[in-house]
Formats: sequence, structure tokens, C-alpha cells
Amino acid sequence: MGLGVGNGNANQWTPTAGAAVPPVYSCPTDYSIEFDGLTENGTTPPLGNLIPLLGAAGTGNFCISFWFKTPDVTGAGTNQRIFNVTGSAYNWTVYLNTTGKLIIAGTPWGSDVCNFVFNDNTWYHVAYSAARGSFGRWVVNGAQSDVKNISAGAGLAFTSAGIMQLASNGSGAQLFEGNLTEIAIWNNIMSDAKLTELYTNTAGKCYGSDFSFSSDLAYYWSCFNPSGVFTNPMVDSVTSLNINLANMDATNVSTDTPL
Amino acid sequence: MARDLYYARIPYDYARDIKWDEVMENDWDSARWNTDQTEVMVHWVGKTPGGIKKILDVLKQTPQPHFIENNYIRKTEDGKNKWELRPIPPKPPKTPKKK
Repeated sequence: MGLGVGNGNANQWTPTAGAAVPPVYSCPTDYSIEFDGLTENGTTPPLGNLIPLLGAAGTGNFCISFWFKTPDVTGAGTNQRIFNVTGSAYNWTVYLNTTGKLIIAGTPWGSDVCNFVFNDNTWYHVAYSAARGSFGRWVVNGAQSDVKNISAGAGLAFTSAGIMQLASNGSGAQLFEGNLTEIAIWNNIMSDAKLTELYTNTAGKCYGSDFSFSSDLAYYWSCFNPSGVFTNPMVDSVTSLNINLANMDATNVSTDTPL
Repeated sequence: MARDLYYARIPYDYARDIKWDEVMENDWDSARWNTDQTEVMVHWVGKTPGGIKKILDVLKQTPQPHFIENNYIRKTEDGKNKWELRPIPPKPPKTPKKK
């Protein structure tokens, strides 16, 4: 229902058909988490010994999506870990290597490289979408970058045992320098169209409720959105797989955002 | 790096004097130690905390901004050799420091 057209009489107006009021969403991406690349990182709670389970029962399709920005995609010659799992059946990791390539490795199908050329100081929305019986796809800013046959790993199961580091490797080195936000793991593959919806989400749609595919959301770290209030641990709003932040405080909440 | 970050590398013998609530490091164990466990890195935003300033004054050192520290740790051979591998933290000294 539109606001309508007045007829000169303040007490009378005629509704205008078809002029829909755009919905208002409550999850704008106003914040990111900033890492210094030297000492700041996060881990899932060691005592809980839990990591995100990739795909239903560890064998289902999944998609990891997030925004990142770094001042040096090559890490000055050192890998930069974004996610890193230790102590699990498949110690998978997502990292930028020393040539600035984004890689997922340690999966049942080995590794998969994203050959997109990332630039310094630029926000990118990236996703790795794995159809376990067929293809793994890297999608950058809503467009497919790379695709690989991963059918060899079908049936081999991820587990939820282990510890996941955020922005470092298992010993706390190879730290990521830069910003992350809107980190999500989905229990399904994601099409370019769906990932474009995330990439262009300037309306502030909530990952957990406002997308047609929200029910596939398995883990979600909003990175202090939409409130901007620092919390330690950093909350996973779907399954409470919260991430303990080391050597960080409210100054790690950044207003540098992609949207 | 938008934040006004500063860093100091504190020798083991002085690390017991660090007031952890003055810096961003959670504690002795979460802080980053160098490869041979002889120095610990601490960092903060803005003005140097009082306790850290006292330690640095004794050591005749000055805090380093993020750009300088990042350059040293990640881009110099000396920095990489001393800091790239991250060991578990050493045990804190048991005996109180002699005055």
C-alpha cells in the first residue's frame, strides 16, 4: 500500500495501487573485526573441542562465505590463515598464500585454489561452495572464479571434533592482517545468484531470516553487526560455536565495511 | 591499519612486571613469545600505559607503531627468524624478583 494521493482536503486521500513500501531490514553491515597480523587471533573454545561441521553429517554439501580485506594479500611472504582447524579428521584451512591466492586445503579432496587476483586494501566477498559428489567452486563478488572436480572426496566425513583458529594457524602464527565480516557457513551449495544477494546486501537483510536460503545457515559470526558492541567471545548466532578472541578489545571493532 | 597501535617487546626477566590489564594481551599465556621464549610482545592503542612505560624506560626502549613492528616481524630476516615460529609460552618465574 502506497501513501496515496491527496485531494486538497487534509482529511481525505486516495490510496495509490502498486506503490509498495520497501521493507526495512535490521541487519546492516556496519562493522567488521580487525586483526593486526601480529598477535590478535581467535579460537573456538578448547574445552568444548568443537569446530564447525562442514555439511550435514560431515558429508553434505556446504558453503563458506565471508568478506575480507587486507593491506597485503601476500602477507609479506608469509601465509595468512583465515580459518584453520586442528585436531580433527580433516584439518581444513582457508588461507591466503604468499602469492595472494586464496586456498582451501586439508579437505577430503586435497586442496582447491582460487585464482582470482586479489588487490591490497580492497573488500571482497568470497565463498567456497562444495557439492560433495561433484564440484567445488570459488565465487568472488558473486561470480564464479574457479571450479574443481571434488567427487573423489564424496562420502569422506568431516567431524565436529577439533579446534578452529580464526586469523592464525594452530600455533598462533601465520596471522591474518586486515578485516573480516559476515562470516557464514551454510549447509548447502550456493548459486552465484544467492551469493550475489549476499554481495549486494546493502538493504541490511539478516542472514538468519531474510533470505530465501536463510534456513541453510549453519554457523554465523556477524562480527559485531549490527550493534557494533565488542563481545568476547565473538558470538555465533546459530549454534553458539563462539570464538574466543585473544589479545583483542573494543578497538578491534572497525567501521571499515564493504557495504 | 586504522587504529593507533603501539608495540613493545619485553624481555622475559621483565615480563613479570607487565600489568596485563594495561595492554590488549589477555595474559602471559595468550601473549606472543618469540621463538626462543626470551621476549614477549604486548600492544595497546594510543598513549603508552604507565606500567609499560616504566619497563621501557629501564630498558631504554621506545614503543613502536604498527607499521614499524609489522615491518620488522614480517619483512626482515631478523624478525622472521626470531618471531615467525610461535612457541608455547615459557613458564612464569616462580620466585619473586629480587629488589
